[in-house]
Amino acid sequence: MKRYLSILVSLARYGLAQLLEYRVNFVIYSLLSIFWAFFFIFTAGLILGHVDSIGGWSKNEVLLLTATNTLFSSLLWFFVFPSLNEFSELIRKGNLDFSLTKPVNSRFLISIHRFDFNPFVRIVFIILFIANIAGSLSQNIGLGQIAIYWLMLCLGMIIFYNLFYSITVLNIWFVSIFNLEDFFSSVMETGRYPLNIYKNVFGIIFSFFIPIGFIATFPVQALLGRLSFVNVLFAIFLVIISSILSQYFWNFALKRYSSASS
Amino acid sequence: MKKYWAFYRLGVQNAFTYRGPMLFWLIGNSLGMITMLAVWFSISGTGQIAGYTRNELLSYYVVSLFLSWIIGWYPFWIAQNIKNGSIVGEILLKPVSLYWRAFTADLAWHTISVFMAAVVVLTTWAFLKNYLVFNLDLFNLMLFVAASIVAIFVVFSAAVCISLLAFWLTESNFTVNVFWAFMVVLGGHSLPITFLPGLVNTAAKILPFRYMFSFPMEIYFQKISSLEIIYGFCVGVFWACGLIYLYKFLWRRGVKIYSSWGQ
Repeated sequence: MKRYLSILVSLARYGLAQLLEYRVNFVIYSLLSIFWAFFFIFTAGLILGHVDSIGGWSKNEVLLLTATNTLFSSLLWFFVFPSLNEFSELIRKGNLDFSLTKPVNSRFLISIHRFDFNPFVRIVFIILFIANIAGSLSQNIGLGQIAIYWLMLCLGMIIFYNLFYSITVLNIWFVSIFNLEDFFSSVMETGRYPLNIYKNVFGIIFSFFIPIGFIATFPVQALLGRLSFVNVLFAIFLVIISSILSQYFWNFALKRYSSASS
Repeated sequence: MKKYWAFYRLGVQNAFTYRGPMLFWLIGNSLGMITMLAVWFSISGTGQIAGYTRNELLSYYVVSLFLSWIIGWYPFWIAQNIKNGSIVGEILLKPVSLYWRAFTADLAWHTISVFMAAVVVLTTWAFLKNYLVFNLDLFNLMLFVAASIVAIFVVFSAAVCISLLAFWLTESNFTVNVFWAFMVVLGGHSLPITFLPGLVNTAAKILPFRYMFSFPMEIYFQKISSLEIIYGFCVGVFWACGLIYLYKFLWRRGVKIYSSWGQ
């Protein structure tokens, strides 16, 4: 455990050093992070300027959903997506062998070998925005609700990490899915609005197979004190199931991996 | 011309070899459409919203899925190739134009992708035919196609210019992000530009982003007058020519200061 923690810290330091190497990019990106944080809120605001509610959620509640969605995806962009995005190149060039032959868990190394500190400023600003708008919605938000909000976010991130990892592993068969970044962003966007707007077959898909409720709807319900305890249990259940299935799929895929070179 | 035909064929072969990206692009874009359809289905009322009826708004996202596949020409790989030096072997040491080399690669990709987009759009149309709006006559269809061709040149040239900034910045991800943000809001990807407030709406009609996507959509839904269509074509062609000129300028300057190692 101590060894893995040490690797994690080293990789994070390396990510920071890499970021500071391109200082112009870093400074401008940090400024743009603030712009990005409010960009999605602005686009949601354009719709809310013409309608009173979406799926029974009021304007401020939808803004809270959008902000939470931005927070969720920003956190994944911090330490999961950057690594998964590079996976197709690892397969195409045969560099996956480097991770497989190291004396550490290969999945661990592949999942966190790249940190991106660019969204950091965005995360700080969006948390401040969430605190502000949640305060305007309810004066009685307690520490317990905030704790469950973060718990649901964390469980959601584990579920989506498992889901996206399994999808990334498909590169072993497809070789070069270079646009997974766009795909992940599209999935994140589906969670920007309340889960109950999706009906029929999409309601089932987005409730059970791509459980987008964990991106924003359930955490926001937790913050506003409306979350059913069943959904917390459901989250724990999905964390366990998705972890088992994605690990099984990773092992299955590795047996079919043939290196390209190296 | 022969060499670009060869690049085109190579691009088609690549698209067939690497089928994964095409599949995920299709699913990703479809998810975006499903989200916006669900949003507008959840909103009750039959009145107009920002000049669009609910059925027109539903149709907007189905047509926009198809259009974004036709005119989504984003050769940002150029920036990556400048950064890692592979542009030397691919372009600088060969008697080819970067612009037309990238153009043929995108043309090949879209030759295939347009069929896949058509399948999704026609399927969606079959399920939602009672809600969707299709009222294009032949003349408007021709205008729609012409505006889409202008849009291809505006968006492609802009993307090439942004990629070329990598000559000076090396790592230029942020420029792509800024471009996307403006495209999504001012280009009409997320919502029709009539949703934009006054001053932003006026700016959108002057800046190039509207002519990358929204202008053909406005023609499709017949939301602009004949005079506005003529104005739109003039501004769109102006931006296309201006951005091609800017590309030539950036390329000449960039190559002079460029240095690469190991490739």
